[in-house]
Amino acid sequence: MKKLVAVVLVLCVVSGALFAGGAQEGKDELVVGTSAGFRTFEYREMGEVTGFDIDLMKAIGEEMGREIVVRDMDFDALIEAVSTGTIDVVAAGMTITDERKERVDFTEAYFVADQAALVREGSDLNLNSPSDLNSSDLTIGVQNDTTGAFWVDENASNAKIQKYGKYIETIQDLENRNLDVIVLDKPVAEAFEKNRPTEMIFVIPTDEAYGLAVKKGSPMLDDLNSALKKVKNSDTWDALIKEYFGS
Amino acid sequence: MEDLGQFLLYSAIAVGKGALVTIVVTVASLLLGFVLAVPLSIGRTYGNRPIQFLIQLYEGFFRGTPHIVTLFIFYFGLRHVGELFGNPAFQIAIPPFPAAVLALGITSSAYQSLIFRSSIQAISRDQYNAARSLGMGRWQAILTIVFVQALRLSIPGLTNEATIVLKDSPITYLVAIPEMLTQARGIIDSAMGKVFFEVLIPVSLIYFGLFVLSNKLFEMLDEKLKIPGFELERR
Repeated sequence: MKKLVAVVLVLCVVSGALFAGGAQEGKDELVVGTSAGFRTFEYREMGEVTGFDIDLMKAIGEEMGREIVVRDMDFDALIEAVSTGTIDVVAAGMTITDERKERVDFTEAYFVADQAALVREGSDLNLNSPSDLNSSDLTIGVQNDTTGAFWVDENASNAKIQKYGKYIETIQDLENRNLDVIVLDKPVAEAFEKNRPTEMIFVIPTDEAYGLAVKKGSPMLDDLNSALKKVKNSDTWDALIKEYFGS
Repeated sequence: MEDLGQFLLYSAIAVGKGALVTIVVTVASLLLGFVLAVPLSIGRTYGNRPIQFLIQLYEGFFRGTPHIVTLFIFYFGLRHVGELFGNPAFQIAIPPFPAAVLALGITSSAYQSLIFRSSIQAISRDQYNAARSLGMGRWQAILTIVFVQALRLSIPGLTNEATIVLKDSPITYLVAIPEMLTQARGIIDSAMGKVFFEVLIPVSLIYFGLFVLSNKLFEMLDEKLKIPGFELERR
């Protein structure tokens, strides 16, 4: 009897310990939501999420005197997560759009990008400008819920559009010939161009600006903006741009 | 990747970290399930009608609801619970790891409760009667005589349950848990898609290895607790 009670107590304690270990989320921590898989802004290396956005948030966190905790989830889960307070801020190469502004508040822009069209190396589709994409002979791949997807929905609605959860899936389908072209953010397209047998055939100038997103009405917005401003004016910023975009 | 050796090393580290998280989540959930299932199964067998009814509701809900849905309820759903009472500001905010373990553990407790209940019922009523006739109190008889034997009978069922929870663990990626499958997808992404099966196959083998390991552990436990010649000896 005593043994059974002892065993059960030990199990309770162990369960409790395992639990408590995970429950710590200090008040001083800044919970950053992101979606790994968006080279070079956030991706996994050696099991940890790193990238431009992560390093930027680390620098901002330092300015604000808070340590960051990174939570990796699907891109389309981020807005819901920050709106409910599950995470404090979104740093995921998220473009500032009017629709998104209805649900979250954005900081000042920290990066400007365009979209680009990516095809298999040596494919002869004779596409020279964005309007060529609006053809019913084409199958275009995009990542779901991104500005690339929105652009294609609006400007290439004659084409067959396929939506994916992660960019890597679009690349695989491109190479398998299930897709003819992918529309995605230019920095990511450049990264893929370097590493896979693909070519970036043209740029779609959308002039999008990435911003950090917080809950609507969040008191943190001003602090984030001033920290962001300080970081942008510092050497850290130049070092980051050099490290990730190599110029 | 230019350097194959470095890629393999980095990948192994990533998968290793993921495997560790998978193991911790699985073990913690099973333990929670066990700790909850003991009183649940006993209450369902020996409790009065109201208690039995409540436990039946609990079991029914957690066995009948898809595990992903339960996970979502604990992580996302509870944050909206205030809206039910007209106070949207009120939230039950559970961080990822406890939410994952609570969801998987409570679900597992519903299944484990069934396992224990059928084992309890398999222990002949004679055991209970004999214990009482020796002067033992009701709960003493239940816990020290009946339930202890029921635990032994439950081992095959628990082996199976351990496998189920292990194979459920990847869904926790949805609540930002960096378990093994997440790491595998991260590697595929860093390699820009150059490797796919090369990553998934070793990871499947690791899941399989964990399955074999847990089965072996339960088998050893079973061997140890076997009492030859006793009326409950297994074939």
